[in-house]
Amino acid sequence: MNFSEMKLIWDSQENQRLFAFDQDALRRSVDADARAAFRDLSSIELGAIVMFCVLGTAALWDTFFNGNEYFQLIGVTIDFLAAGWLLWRRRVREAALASRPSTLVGIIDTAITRVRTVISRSRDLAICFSLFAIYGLVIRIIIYGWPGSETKTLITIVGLVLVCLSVVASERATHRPRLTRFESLRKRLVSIDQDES
Amino acid sequence: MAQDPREETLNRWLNCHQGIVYKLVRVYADGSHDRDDLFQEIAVQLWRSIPSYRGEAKESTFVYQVALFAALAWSRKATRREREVPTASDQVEQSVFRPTATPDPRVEWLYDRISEFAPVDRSLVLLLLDGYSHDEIASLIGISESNVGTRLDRLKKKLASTPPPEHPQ
Repeated sequence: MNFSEMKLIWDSQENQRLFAFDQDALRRSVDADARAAFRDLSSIELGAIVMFCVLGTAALWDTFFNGNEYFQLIGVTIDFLAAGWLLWRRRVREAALASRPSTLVGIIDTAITRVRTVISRSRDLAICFSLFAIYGLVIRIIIYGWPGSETKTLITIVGLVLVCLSVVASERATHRPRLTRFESLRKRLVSIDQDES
Repeated sequence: MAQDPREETLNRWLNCHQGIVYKLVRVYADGSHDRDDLFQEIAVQLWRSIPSYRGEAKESTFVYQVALFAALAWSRKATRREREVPTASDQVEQSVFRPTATPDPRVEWLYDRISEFAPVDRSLVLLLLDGYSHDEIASLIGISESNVGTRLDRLKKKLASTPPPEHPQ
């Protein structure tokens, strides 16, 4: 077969509409992506709630039965407040997303909200963890004094900050592209709707 | 509500030149998820390129160039993407942008043959099949005209080495 025959075959596709926008496939794809993003957050969040409850209960037990210092009660309060706060935010989020939108743009909006929530929640969790760790460090300094030297303390604090920043950065690296994809899909969908109307 | 002029331009480009985008997506991406991903990438690159379009080149040529570079850059990242853990949407088999007509097996054959070439060679064949001259291809891709000629001769021979399927009745 020579090239001009190939060109004829190639040009034969020009007169037909090449593809259509499959809303059902998009709906499934967006829904699956958003659910996957939420599953990640949900498990981290649940783990954090359980951790704060266990630590709080252990500290409470220690305070009453071993007669420890007042600052242990502050730790108990922080643990339970953090667990309660995470639980409350979880409930609010679930309630806000309980109603299922019927339109595709609505589903994408929900997905965008979900991914944004995941991104902001990962930041909240990092703050939560760092507050908890800083509190632990302060308690340690009160009881045992500076850990070795000021340099070591500084390195510990910088290390903590870096760990928290890396949590936020990794969440953003995973979920930001997802968010961009949803936003671009939404833009495309809205423009298609405007065209068709 | 009035549409944002930039959004209007993107929409017009995607509608008027959907053939260009479809061909590139079909040749550079394999599988429904990758095709959707490349389509999104091309759309994003076109969106970014709108302010730089001054009307000096033909609109279709400009769109072709931007989309082609987006596809080439996307295919370069392919190895890295293959290592990534698939997302839930990877498991959605059906593509968001599905073909509407029953594909002509001879056109499919051509796409499959072109897809076997190296990324830059694919773009050369695509541009030639879409009617661009050797010097236009050279300036679009950024290689010399003689290089384009040599490469295309070799690619045409490769393409001609396998017979296409029968014309559907």
